[in-house]
Amino acid sequence: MTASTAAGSDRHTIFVVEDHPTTLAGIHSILDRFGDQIVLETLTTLKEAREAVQRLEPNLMVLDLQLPQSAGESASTEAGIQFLKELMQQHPFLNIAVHTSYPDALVRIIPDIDNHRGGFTVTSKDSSTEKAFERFKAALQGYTHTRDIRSLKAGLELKPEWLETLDLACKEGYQDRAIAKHLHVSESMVRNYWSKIYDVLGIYPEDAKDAGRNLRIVTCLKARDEGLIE
Amino acid sequence: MLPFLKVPTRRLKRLARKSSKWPIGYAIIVGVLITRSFGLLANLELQTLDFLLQNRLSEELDEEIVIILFERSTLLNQSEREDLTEQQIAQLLKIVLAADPAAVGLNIFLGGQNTSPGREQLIELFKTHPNLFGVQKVLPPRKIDPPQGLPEEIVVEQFGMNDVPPDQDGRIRRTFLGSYLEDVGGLPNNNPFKFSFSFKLAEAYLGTQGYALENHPRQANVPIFKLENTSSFIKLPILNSHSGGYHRETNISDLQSFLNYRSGPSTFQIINAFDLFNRSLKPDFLEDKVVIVGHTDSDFPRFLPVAASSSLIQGESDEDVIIPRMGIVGAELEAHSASQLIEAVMADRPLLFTLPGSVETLLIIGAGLTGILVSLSFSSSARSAVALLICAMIGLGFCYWCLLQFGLLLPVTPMAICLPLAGITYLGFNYRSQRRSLLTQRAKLRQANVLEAERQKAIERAFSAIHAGPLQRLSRLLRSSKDGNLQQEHIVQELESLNKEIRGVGERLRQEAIGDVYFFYSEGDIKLDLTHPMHEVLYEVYSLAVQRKLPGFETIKVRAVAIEPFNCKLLNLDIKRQLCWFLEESLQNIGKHAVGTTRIQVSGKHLDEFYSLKIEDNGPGIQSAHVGEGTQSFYRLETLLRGKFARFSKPNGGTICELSWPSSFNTS
Repeated sequence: MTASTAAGSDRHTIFVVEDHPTTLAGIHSILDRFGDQIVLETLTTLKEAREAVQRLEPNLMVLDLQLPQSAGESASTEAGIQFLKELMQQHPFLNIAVHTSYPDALVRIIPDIDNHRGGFTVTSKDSSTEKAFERFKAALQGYTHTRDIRSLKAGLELKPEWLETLDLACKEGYQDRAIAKHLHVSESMVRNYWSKIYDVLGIYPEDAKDAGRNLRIVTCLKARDEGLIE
Repeated sequence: MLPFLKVPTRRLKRLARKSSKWPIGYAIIVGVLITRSFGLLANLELQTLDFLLQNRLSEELDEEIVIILFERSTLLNQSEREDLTEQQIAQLLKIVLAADPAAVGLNIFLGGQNTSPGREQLIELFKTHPNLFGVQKVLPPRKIDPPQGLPEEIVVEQFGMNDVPPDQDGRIRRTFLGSYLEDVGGLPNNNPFKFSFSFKLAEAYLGTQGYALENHPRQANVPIFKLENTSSFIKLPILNSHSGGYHRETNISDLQSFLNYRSGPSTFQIINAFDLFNRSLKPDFLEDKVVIVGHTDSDFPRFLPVAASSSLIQGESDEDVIIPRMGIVGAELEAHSASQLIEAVMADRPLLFTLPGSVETLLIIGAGLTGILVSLSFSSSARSAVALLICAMIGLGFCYWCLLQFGLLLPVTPMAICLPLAGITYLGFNYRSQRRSLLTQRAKLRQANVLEAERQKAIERAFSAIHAGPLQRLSRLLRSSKDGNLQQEHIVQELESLNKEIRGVGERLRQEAIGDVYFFYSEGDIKLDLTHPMHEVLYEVYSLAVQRKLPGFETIKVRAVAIEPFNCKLLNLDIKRQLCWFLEESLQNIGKHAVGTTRIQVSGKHLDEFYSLKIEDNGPGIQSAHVGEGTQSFYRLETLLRGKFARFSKPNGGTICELSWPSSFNTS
């Protein structure tokens, strides 16, 4: 399979890794909503996917978890998980949308997902086309949506750095640059923290912007509500 | 079988079985027998015989035999001639014969020219005195015939052979009784037989005492001396080429017998011939005795190497002696030969004899088996060694006693080699088998420890399975019933779940025992794959645990989790399972007891050489001093990991539960 090159700067390259024809058709129909903004490449095995990513880092990777290593082999979730871990390690800024029947399999790599700096969304295969499209789009824009795989019952799970970011921003009123300086990380890392915090708090940037609200202020209010800031 | 033999027989069988486990003792017996059959032990055995013969108590002077010697130095003084003339011999014989001895033996060859003066006198003496005996040499390399001019019957009757059969080492241990002469062109099976000189003398003496020489009634070639008019007789033992230590000794031909030398420094009375010539000694004392006439060189006497001592050596001062003297002179050898026959018949002095080869072989085997049995009979090697030593000493003593008392020469050397050697090999075996049994015992103990640990683990697993599932539900039910908000429907539902859970425990234990999974109990078992990286598995455990419906989790606002990857390839499945259980149980403790907690922190971090897994909450802290079953098993896990477990309250509220273990810990 040859790599399609992006025809224009506004067109996004999307790789779809899926071996099952029916599901593949479903994913294609979801991606159709992007119209002609995207260049699509379909990969059916992990081997192909590895080679393709090596060649060209796409703007978004849509990926099933149950995948075969190479053509003819049987598909396994474990192989998919391993590939995902590898992908996040080698391409920390890659936007990834996982589209799977078994989102629970991702639970054990949540710490890895939390460390990932690109977009990361999870959709179950039985979710609606509308929802799936929203998630793919969010991933393409670099947001994180992992609430489906997080335990929802007992409070919010955050990494200590995120808490500090919240503290600095909401209590001290620091800007990203100041926070970055304070935490000894890069500004892009702070932006990544914010994306994770939005995810944890269930704030959807698109919605907030549509409603004409300041995203940071909304986040601080919600964090105070949830008891993240004392 | 006789009843009193049963126990020893059983014991013997047991020992035989034991010894057959390490058959080197038998190999040694076979080895000794083979060595002996190759003749490698022959010299050793004969030297042992010499040793035993030399180390006997001294015997009294033999009264029956007198030796008269012509000494060369005296000869020079008297006649200024070195050679002994036949005239002088005839002169001496006349003096001796006049004293009427039982037999007179002239151990001087009378070969050479017939013209020498005195020859006629000698021939005349032989003719007139049938108790006068002469010597001839009949065996190769060179023969020395009796003087010519003697009638044939006198040569046959009055001349004996005085050939000496030396052993390979040059020593003389045997004597001829007689030998068949070489073929003289006649029929090969009809060669004339010649008695030895010493035998002739003994026969003549015994004849005067009433004993007659006859053939053994059943063994035609064995001579016996039989007292006239009685049926009792004395049998002379005959050697063959395999007797005693001899191995295919070609030197043993016809009738030979071992020499049982008289022991002690003075064996026979020895007189200088010139003492009789010059009448300084009266010849009367020679009456009825055996007289052996010989000659010797007092300066350079020809001593024969034997296991006896010459009477000549005794009484001589060192000044007279030019060369060191050992052994005996020729005339004494003849005297020993004649004496042993006479004493055997007259005084029951034993003649040396040996057992048939097959019996000797059996004895050697017996000695070896005794060694094996003795050394196996004792559990301690030291005792076995002492017993072997005692056994060997008794054996040697017995052999010595047999030789002294009966003249029976047993195969001392091979027996003395076989018994301790075969025994000693089993000393090592004993030691080895003791060591082995000790090792097996230790291995068994180790196995028992492993089993015990396994049992302990099974108990803990069973407990944790019950603790994680049904007990939680039960305590929830109890709590609700105490609170009073219990509906019938709810109770039935809970009890049904409880029933299912308890049934599930068995299944879960069975699967856990064989599989590489950790069962997390929530609404239906969730299997966590323990072959995945442990930090991921622990994260799964954590995220499942905090979803439980527990009072402590209801108020939680924030959870901070960071579990660093660590090397879990070195941990076995069981440890992994216990780590999961540790995390699950610690979180559950928060859920159950730490009501009001708003933050939970779970961290797994490398700290120096340790990996530390820490669970922290901001609840009320530890409220009761009671150490629960769960905490107890944490301490067991601590020991198992050679790590450290701590559980304590924070000063500003909350509890910390921490387990750390060496990163290098290896259980695989």
